[in-house]
Amino acid sequence: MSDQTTDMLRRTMKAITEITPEAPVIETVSDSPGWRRSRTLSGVPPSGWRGPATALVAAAVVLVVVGVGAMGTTLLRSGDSTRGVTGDPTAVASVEGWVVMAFLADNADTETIMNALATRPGAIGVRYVTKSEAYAEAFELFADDQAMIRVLEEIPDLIPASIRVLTDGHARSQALASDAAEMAGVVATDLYFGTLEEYGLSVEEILASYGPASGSPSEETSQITDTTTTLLPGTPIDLELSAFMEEPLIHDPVVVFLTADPDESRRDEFVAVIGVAGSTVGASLRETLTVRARERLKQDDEALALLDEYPEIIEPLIWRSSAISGANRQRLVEQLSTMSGVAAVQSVAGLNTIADTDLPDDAIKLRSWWRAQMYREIALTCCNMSSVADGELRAFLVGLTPLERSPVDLEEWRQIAQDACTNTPLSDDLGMDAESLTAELRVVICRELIPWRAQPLDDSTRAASD
Amino acid sequence: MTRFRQEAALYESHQVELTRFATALVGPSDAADVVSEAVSSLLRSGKLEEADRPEALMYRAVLAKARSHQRSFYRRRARERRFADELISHDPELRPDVVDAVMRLSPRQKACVYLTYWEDLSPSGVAERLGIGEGTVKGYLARARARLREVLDE
Repeated sequence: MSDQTTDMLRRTMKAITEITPEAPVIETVSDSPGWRRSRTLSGVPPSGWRGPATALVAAAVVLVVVGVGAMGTTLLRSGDSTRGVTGDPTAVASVEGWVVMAFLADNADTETIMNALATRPGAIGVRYVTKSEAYAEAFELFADDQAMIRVLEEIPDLIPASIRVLTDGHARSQALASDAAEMAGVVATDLYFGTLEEYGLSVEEILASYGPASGSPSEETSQITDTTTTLLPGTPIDLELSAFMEEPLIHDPVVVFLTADPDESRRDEFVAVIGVAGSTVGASLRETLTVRARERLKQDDEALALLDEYPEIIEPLIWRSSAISGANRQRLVEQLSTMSGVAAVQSVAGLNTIADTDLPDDAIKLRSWWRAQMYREIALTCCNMSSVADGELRAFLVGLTPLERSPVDLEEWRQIAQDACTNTPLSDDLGMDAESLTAELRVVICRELIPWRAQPLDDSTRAASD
Repeated sequence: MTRFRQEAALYESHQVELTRFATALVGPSDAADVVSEAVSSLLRSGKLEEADRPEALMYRAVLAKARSHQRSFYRRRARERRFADELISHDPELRPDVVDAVMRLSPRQKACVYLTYWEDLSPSGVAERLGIGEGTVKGYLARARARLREVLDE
């Protein structure tokens, strides 16, 4: 670069950093004896292990997934086995028991759940493991795996907080896992059994999806998202919708599981949605999506070349929203719950997703196009449901309100959603027939609800996608 | 001196530079949060104590946090545009398109550009600071320059 250019860049960097804010004050922690969280597997959690409690209150929120693994003494190694432990700390420290791990949403009532779990038959102790501790634990588990360590360093929030319940046996753990799920008002989506090493492998699977092996850090998967999608009649259909939340100090994405009743007449429609949404978890499924993208781009050699060069363009995410706060997330879940054919909705926080990628502009453009395609497909599929009953469409509209939009547009959209919910029949009020209204709403959804506006690469791409 | 006091002192000796670095990556409104979260995580992990070059580790942590902080492409663009606009109003002699182009770079590219053009580090110095290969640094710089050149040549 020329000196002039270099000078311009220097001036630019100077200007950019000219209004650097004051450095933050970092609160440090003391060297208290026995606090060994960093390089021990367990450390001593704030709440510590806790014995049976008196309170048994149903947990209203949360819980997501319950994992079960054999817990050896290694996992229980702590700086001070008596600290923070109620009940029988000696037993906790020495028993070669089983542990039930309940991964928690951010808004979980941890105290209530812990108290409730501690009263369950077979529960020896209950312990809360913070995100930081889980992070340190994962570090220990992968101490010899530099690739995994790098992923952890890149995404320190990857491992969620959890409540761990030490039990006196495998069967007790199974029962308690079911209890824990029931307590949270959901059905456990997944259980796994194994040793601490196997837990490590499970974590490894999560990390691997972010690591070099997957070719991209932008894959979202976990044992939680690896839900059953068996589509045989009589079996539940789990539809995963992922959202992304980026509010100050909150970086957990939202994962919403919809379980459709297979006996409903609209089962096929859910299956159609799953074709877009549910199949977007995991690397192998990414391949499926890539095939689909390539089919649509077959007339665009340039785009295909980009896709070859940047396979991470094809993302597994369905919804990514920066505007879904805890309250809105709950609202979204409630709204989705009102859709007929939806048997259960679970909202899950604590998973991590998408990291920045250093894609060139044209690849970003292609990715935006792909995202738009997915949104469009989902929107159209859901709009088709409206032909069955307007109620579903209304719920869908309101449910989607929290999606990322500017404040002004959001208000405008709320008005549309409100109209859709309060006017009966809606089409009369708007002065158009039902068919026209449905068509209009499709346009609105496609145009307005896509955070990344559809920007086809060129006319040929548009033609291919249409 | 205890470990935590040593680490706190270490942070204090670099806090201004780290915050400026974060500002270059995410803008002034988020810089303090990024530094705070990154350094807090480091302190909790205990890795700072064992690092051969703790200063470089802090820079890497800030970069990593900045990357995760800017996950939302859409919002990031909007935020950076706003930031660029505000900046121009403060210094009208600057080329807005260059500022905009710099702010559009990826965090890693911005980190390399910042360390190269603001801290005058060589590619090997940038590599050491960020814990990545020198070739990788050159790659980021080349890609960043290519984007900037498009603007500068216009």
